[in-house]
Amino acid sequence: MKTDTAAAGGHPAPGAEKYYIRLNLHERVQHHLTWSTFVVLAVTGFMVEFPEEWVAPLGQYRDIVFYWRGILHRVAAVVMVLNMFYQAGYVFFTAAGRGYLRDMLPRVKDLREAGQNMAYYLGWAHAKPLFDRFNYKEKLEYWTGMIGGIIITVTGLFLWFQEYFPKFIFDISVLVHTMEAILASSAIMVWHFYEVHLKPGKFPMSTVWLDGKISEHELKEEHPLEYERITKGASSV
Amino acid sequence: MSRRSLLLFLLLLLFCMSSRAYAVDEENCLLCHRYSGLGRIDKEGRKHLYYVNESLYNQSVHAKVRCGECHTDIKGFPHGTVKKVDCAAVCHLVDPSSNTPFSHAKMIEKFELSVHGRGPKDKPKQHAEDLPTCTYCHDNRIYPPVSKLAKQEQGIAREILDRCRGCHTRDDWTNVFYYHFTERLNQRRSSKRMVELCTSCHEDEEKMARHNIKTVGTFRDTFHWQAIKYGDPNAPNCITCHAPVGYFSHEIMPKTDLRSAIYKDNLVRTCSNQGGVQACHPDATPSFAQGNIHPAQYKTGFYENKADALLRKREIEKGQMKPFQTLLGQTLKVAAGDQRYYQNIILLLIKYFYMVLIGGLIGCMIVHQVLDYFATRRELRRVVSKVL
Repeated sequence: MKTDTAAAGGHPAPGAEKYYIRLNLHERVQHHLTWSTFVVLAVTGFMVEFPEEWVAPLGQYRDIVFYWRGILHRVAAVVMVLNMFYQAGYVFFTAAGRGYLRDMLPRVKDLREAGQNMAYYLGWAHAKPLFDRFNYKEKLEYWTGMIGGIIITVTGLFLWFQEYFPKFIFDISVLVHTMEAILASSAIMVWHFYEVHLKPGKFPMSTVWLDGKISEHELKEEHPLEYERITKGASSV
Repeated sequence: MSRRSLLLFLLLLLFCMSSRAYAVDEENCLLCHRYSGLGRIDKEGRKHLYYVNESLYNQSVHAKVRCGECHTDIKGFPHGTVKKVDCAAVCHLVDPSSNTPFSHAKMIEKFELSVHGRGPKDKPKQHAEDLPTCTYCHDNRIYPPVSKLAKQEQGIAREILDRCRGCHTRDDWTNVFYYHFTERLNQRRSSKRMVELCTSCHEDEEKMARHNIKTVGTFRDTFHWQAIKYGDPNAPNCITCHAPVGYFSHEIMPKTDLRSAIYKDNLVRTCSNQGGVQACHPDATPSFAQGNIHPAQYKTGFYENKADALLRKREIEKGQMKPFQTLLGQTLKVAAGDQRYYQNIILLLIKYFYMVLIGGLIGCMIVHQVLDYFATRRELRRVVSKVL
């Protein structure tokens, strides 16, 4: 992992905070593509379920809105799927990506850490477990997102090319696509938005998604094992 | 002024006021029927309104038809109880295309033989009182003023109307004819109104059970309805599929009839809607065109409604069986209704799985985050107090 400093020119000012790269450029681009398409897909998707009273204020522009809703939903879906391929290419064919995937793989210790963390929340333990690069929360989000993404893509394709499949496949796809969308949207709201926006100390938001940098004390606090690994390697500036 | 002269004066005033009505209303029916309070409450307590709004009537489809043409049993004034109007009556209007007296009789004849008709006169259907009459759907709509129409719809313009006026000098007649043609070139009702009209009966579970058919309650769960909700001109309403190109809304047949647009062998053609105004599913295949278009009842639970259960029973009795491929590779013979029933159960199980998943997972997540919030605040306080 590369390191960076807050001061310009790469010379650390006395007392200045040291920064580490948490998300490299590939990962940031992937995140930007994911969140932007997700927002478009959620809005244009749930528009179908809006009750009549919500649609009425659109007046005579209703059908134009509906037309573009369909186009936008498909365009965003294609971009999201291409982004998934981009991610797959990244995690399999680049060294940084392989490292990312390796650190993201679920392990038994995640379950143990989850238990320890609950004990800490409830005041039964005095300290948080020592997390590595990705903790169980991040792993849960990553893998549920991945599985959900595949399910929603497959059902979405069945809906898009409905003429070529039996009606029963269509019925299942409508149901699963909608339910998966509700699940994903609420999970993002509760799990992700709390973690990066609402959590005390993060509010109004963590800036990692913009510049990819995490401060030394945050890294030490949240990913102590990773910090230890980096500093022990002594490759940091 | 004496009481008698006052009465005479009032009567005179009344006649003067109704002078405009005389011009159109040759039979002078509006003498009484122009008063908005004219009506009665019968023995059963039902209200009857006999008021006719002249200006609205003059903009309606029947503006050029005299009262007596439809109310044929009224011979004099004052008149007693009046029979219901028979739309199949021959009126004195001459149909310019054939130069014969005009009548809706032909249309009614076809209609009576359709699924909505009462059947042959000597052998009427059961529960005929549930079936729609002409006026149930034809509410004798009022033509909006030209100025309003010209703003709303392309192709309707004063210039065009002016071309008619070159020969047809009587404005009231020209307007009505112009409206008639331009209206009939378009869909009569918006798709939303069409769905509302059909569902006013077809969502009535008791009524539908009397006729052994299913309700269409779940049409509002389809993407077809979502598109209608947004006013998409391409969105199909009831008529689009039940009376597509080559079929006629007055001749809708039961789906077991070869002449029905939704007869199993006609479905692909109906879904593809070749030659129709709307672009539907040109690539429709037989497997796509089968199954429930108004989706399965999974939105309402495991409960199977009476009509569904009855339909399934009859299919089994009649031996209408379909091959059904199980996941283990066996081919079973099942009734079409059974297949629907089992598909419904699969859909329901998926739905409940997701409901438990969403409820459980999101619930746990909320609890987790609330705990995290308090723990993080506790930690922050500790750090701050240490620094201070």
